[in-house]
Formats: sequence, structure tokens, C-alpha cells
Amino acid sequence: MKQIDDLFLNAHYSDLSPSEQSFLEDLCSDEDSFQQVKSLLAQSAGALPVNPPEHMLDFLNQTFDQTYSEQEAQKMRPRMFNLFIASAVAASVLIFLTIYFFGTNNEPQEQLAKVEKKEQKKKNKQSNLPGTSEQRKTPPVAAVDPTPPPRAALDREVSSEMLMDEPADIASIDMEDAKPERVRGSRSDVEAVPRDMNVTNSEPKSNTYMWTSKEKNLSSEQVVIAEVSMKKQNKSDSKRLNTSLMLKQIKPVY
Amino acid sequence: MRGLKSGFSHFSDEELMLAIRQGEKTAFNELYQRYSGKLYGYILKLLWYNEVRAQDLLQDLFTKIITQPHLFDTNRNFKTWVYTIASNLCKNEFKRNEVRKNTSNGLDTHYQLSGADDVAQTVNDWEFKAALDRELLKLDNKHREVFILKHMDGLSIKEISEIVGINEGTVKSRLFYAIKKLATELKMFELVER
Repeated sequence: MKQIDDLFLNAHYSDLSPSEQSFLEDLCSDEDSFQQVKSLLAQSAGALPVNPPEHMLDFLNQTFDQTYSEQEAQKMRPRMFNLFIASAVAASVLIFLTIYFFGTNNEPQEQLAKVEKKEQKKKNKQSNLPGTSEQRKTPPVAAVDPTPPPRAALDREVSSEMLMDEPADIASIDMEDAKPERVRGSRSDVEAVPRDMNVTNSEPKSNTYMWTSKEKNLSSEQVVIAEVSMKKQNKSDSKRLNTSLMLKQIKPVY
Repeated sequence: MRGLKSGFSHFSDEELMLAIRQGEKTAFNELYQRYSGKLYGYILKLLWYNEVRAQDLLQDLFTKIITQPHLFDTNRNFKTWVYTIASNLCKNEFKRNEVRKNTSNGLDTHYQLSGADDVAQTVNDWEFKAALDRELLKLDNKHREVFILKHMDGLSIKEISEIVGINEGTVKSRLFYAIKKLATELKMFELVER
């Protein structure tokens, strides 16, 4: 079925079918009233538009300029920020590449120089210490007399040292043997005394040694009784000597 | 986007809205030329020819188009969308209930004066338009709105149903009632087919 306006605007009353005439009966019962409604609708179509005042367009254009200039400004801010970040990143990359390609050429040389310096220092230290590298190469083998040296020998050793000013009486007093020292210490003790010092180069002077070596016809170098930590041995020896020295230095009160 | 920046006359309404989003002032001017007259007439008639309020509402409407073009869904019909906004603006105005108080006899003085200055040949036309407007003002808002949209703005039943928010059957019945009422009231005029 056609719409009402189609019936009025595009048709004559005589062209309407009976169903259409009955449909429009409430609006128009005859041809005259039909024409009236038709004219009403036709003229209503020309009622619009009404032009708005001109100043409205000017105002809206100003609003448009304001709105989109602000938006552009807001857009520029993140752009500027991104530009700043990009330039910072580019600069850092440039610096990194510069260091990578140009700065690293000297680095191996510097490292080499450092290593050489360290080695030189080590050599210097080693050269300052008693004992040579040859000695270090040879295993520390020492002939150790397992039996403690006789007291007379000890006394002889002591007397050979600088104890010339002691009174003879005091010196003749039997000295108590120093107790064997329990060697303690950390790894740092090992480094405290150079390894070369552990090696006894000279032959032991004890009588026991002399006797045994004569019996066995062995030179001191050939006699290897046990591999001991010569450092410990040395330490204990020096301690023993020092103890006796200290005891001997005690002067009696007359 | 097709065409140059300056030539927006062949653009559709929806394309113009996309251009406005990108800050094309010329596109906005084109859209204004297309719709300002129709919308102004529509609002003016709905607001009993209160020109000041009608201009305010029209300005508000176009300001929304400028500042919030993203509110328009490009999949929708622009004409329907813009008339919906205008309709809602008028409804808000009805709610304020101030329109009638500020108008004198429902007709704007400027409209009456300009009609009175017309030459004799167009007197009948102007008289008819004045009478039509007067009778329209007597109608309920719902009937008047439908009649204006249909017979003055030329929108389809479907578009009117979308704008007003009612089904098409209701649009038709309201339209029928409005025509009947107007035809009855304007019977005294010598309506001649042109």
C-alpha cells in the first residue's frame, strides 16, 4: 500500500482505488478536500529551509579554528617528545658505536701492558726473595734428622751465636728443651715464608746424622728420610733457639 | 579521500564528517551550507518560532559537530544522526518549559513583518504559511515533529522512526493525525494546486 503523501502528491482523486479512497476517507471525503490536503502538503514542503543569521557561520568558523589549532598543538607535543627520545637514543647509539669501533683499538694494548706490569711485579718480588727459581723447580727434599739433636750440639749452636756477654755460670746451666711447636696456621702462613726457605741446603751438623751417614756411606744429599714441611721444621727450630736465647738472657738477681 | 581539499561539494555527508575530524574547515562549511537552513527551520518550528533559542540550539548543534566529530558513527546516516541531535535538543528545551513563556502568540515578529512586506502575488502563499505555522503550533509536539520531518524536511518514515525513537507504525499514525488536523483547520484557505 502506498503511503499517504504518495497518494496525495502523486495521484489524482479519480485515480485512487476504492480501497485507497476508503483509507483516506477520514482525511478527505470528496475531491475538493483531497485537493486541499494535496495543496497543504505541497506547500509545506517549501516551508523549510529558513536561513540562519550570517554571524553564526563566522562564530562557528572561529570555534573551528580554535578547536583544531589546539588539537594540532596537542599533537605536536607528543611529536616533540618522540623526537627528543629518538634523538637521545640515536646519540647514545652513536656514542656506543664510536667507542666500539675506535675506543677498543687501544684496549688490548692496555690490557697487555697491565698484564706485563703484573708479571713484572711478580718477577721483581721473586727476585727480591732469597732462593732462585731453580730451587723452586727442584722439589724440596731435605735430610731431616729424626732424632733430636743432642744437648751438647744445641749448646754449641747457642754458644756460637751472639751470647758472648752472658756469664759463664748462667750459660752452663742446663736449659730445658723447648716443647715441639704445634704448627698451626692458615694458608697465609704458607705464603709468609718463601718456599725456598724451607729447603735446608747445608748438611745437618748433628752427631746422629754424622754417625748414621758415615755408617751408610751416604752423602747428605742422598739421604732422604722423609719429606716434611720444612717450613714447619724451620719454624720450630728457630722458635726453639729463640726460647733458649730468651731463657739465657734472664739474669739472676744477686 | 577523493578529490582535492577545496572541492567538497561532491562529498557525501559521511565523508564530510571524516574530513572535519581531520580539521578540514572547508568540509565543515560545506556541511553547514547543506543543513543549517533545514535544521534552523526545523528547530524554529518546534520551538514556536523562538528565534533566539532556535539560533542557540543550532549553534550548539554545529559546535558539537566541530568539537566532537568522533561521536558520529560513520556507518550511520548523517542526516538521521544530526536530526536526532536537533530533536533531542528541542525535547530538552520543552522540558525546561520556558519556550512558550518567551514567545508572543507563538509567532516570531520578524517572520510576521517580513510576511507583511511581501508583494500581493505572494500574499496568499505567506498567509497560507503563516496559517500552517499557526496550526502546527497548535499541534502536540509529537505530531508536529513528525509532520515537520516528513513534509518539510522530506525524511522517510524509517528515518523519522530512528530520529524520534518510535516504530514506523507509530510514525504513520501520528502523521495521519497531523494531516487530518491541519486539513481540517486550513479548510477555510483557498488551497490551489500549483
